[in-house]
Amino acid sequence: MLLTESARAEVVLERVQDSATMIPGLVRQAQNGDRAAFEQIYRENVGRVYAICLRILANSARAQESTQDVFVRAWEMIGTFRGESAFSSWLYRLAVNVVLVNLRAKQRRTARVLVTNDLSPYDRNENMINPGSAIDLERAMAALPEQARAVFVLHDVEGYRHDEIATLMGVATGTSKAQLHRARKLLREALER
Amino acid sequence: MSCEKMEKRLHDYVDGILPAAERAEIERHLETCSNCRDEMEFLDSLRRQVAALPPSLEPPRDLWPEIANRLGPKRNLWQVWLAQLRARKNGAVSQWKNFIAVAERRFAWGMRGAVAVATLVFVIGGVWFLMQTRQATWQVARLAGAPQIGSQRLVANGQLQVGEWLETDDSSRAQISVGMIGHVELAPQTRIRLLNTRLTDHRLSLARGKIHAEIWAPPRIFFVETASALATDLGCEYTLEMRDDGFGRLHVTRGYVALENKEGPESVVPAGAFCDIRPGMRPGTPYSENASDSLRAALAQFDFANGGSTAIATILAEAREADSFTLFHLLFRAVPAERGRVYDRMIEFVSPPPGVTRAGVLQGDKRMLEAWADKFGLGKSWWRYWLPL
Repeated sequence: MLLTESARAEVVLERVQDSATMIPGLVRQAQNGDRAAFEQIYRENVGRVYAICLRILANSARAQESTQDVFVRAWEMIGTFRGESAFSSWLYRLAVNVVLVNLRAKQRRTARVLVTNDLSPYDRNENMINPGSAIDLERAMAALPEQARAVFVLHDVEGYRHDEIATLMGVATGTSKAQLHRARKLLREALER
Repeated sequence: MSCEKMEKRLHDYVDGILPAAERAEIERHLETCSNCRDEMEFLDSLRRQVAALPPSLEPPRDLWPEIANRLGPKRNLWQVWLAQLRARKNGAVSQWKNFIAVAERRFAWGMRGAVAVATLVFVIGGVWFLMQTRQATWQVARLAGAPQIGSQRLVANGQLQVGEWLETDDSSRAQISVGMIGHVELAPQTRIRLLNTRLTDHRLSLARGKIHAEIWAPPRIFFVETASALATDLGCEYTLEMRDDGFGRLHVTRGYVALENKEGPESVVPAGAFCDIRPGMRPGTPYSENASDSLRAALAQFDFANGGSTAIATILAEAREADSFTLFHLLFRAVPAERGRVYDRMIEFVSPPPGVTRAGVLQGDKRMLEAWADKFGLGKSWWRYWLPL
């Protein structure tokens, strides 16, 4: 897993801090229907949610659309959050679920088109937001085939295990591993080009 | 192993999911294979680059206005459930999991609601029961004649307070309501005193006469003290008669009553049995309503006149199946040398519980004795008070 232990610890620490400070109070208010509180939750988390969506979908317009879907779904389901984990963990997992659903929906649409037009199954219409110093890696990730990209983002960037990814994506654990190897191999080719 | 095969395992190695033995193999291979070392360097480099990725990326525009437009009134759980159901129909696996999760939560909430309601009912009921049973006074009803509370003659109903005496003469009878847990009827020529009305300790003192108690509380809440023994209700109906000189008799008609004093082991008297009481002596051995006169006489000899082995011989000869309970008590009262024949006679009427041996019983094996107690329907929880003695 390429997410370093220290980076993982920082993420965990960040989540704990979220949970221990302002988020739970806001969540409680949002659970009571307070839209202003929910907007603040949005402001605090939109960057992280958008990053997940953008890296998996590799398309800014679709990432924005999915980000909206995530927060709309979060508003609908916030009553089910019971504080068993940090709220940020709950929200990011919801984001992964939503974006994977959107990814599959797009794959189905693409598959229907492929029958007649034989277009590339991979949407490379990048409209990427410049992420700064890691731009090369971001671009290389965006150029990966969709499934390999999703597995790479979930495993190496977000820190999910193969069994979790298999469950989330509805594939076998072996498929998740194979896609990760494929992604890394393609990334090497792209980055060393 | 070829580098091609090794490369796949390198990824597992980097991800830390390879068993220790295989890790060592990889490390040995890396020392000699420059290609794989090269791959490892790339994976390390990739890890560093991934770690350097910003965790957040700001969207190119503020998405909130569009999100706010899409927010409907907050859904209740039922609506969320229906939404999940619709999502499931669209074939989304993860949505199905959410649906299950929400359904589970709904079920959990339902269960919690039921538990909360049950707890509330229990608490309210408990408080009500507490209030009812913690009355400092007990109601007394005149049944006949003119019972007397202290120096006051009871015309109809009255209140008996802690410390007060209630007395009936030759022609009077009375009934006491023991909080909410039962009632006690006083026969003529009876004198009792109320000692305690605490929730877990309802206590009377019987100085003389005869009472008939019917109690439906849990065991060991209602007690009657006498000059010679303490009668502890174990959920039952019984008659207790005492004379001024400390002689008395307990007759249990339902459930069980324990009789004890400081002189010796407790007697546990079942329905349909008597137990005699003598001043300064341990409670007698319980005996059946149908026990023969000879057996009763021999028991009196054994319990109160050092009848010893002769009395035991008569008891064993006279015992019938209905007296096996008496023999069980006797097992613990006879001297060790007599116990063997008491046991042998008892198992002529009642077969031993599974796993119980003669030797074990005679050695006082608690588990076996409790198995016997169970066999007689006595249960274990209160019988153990008797066993160590």
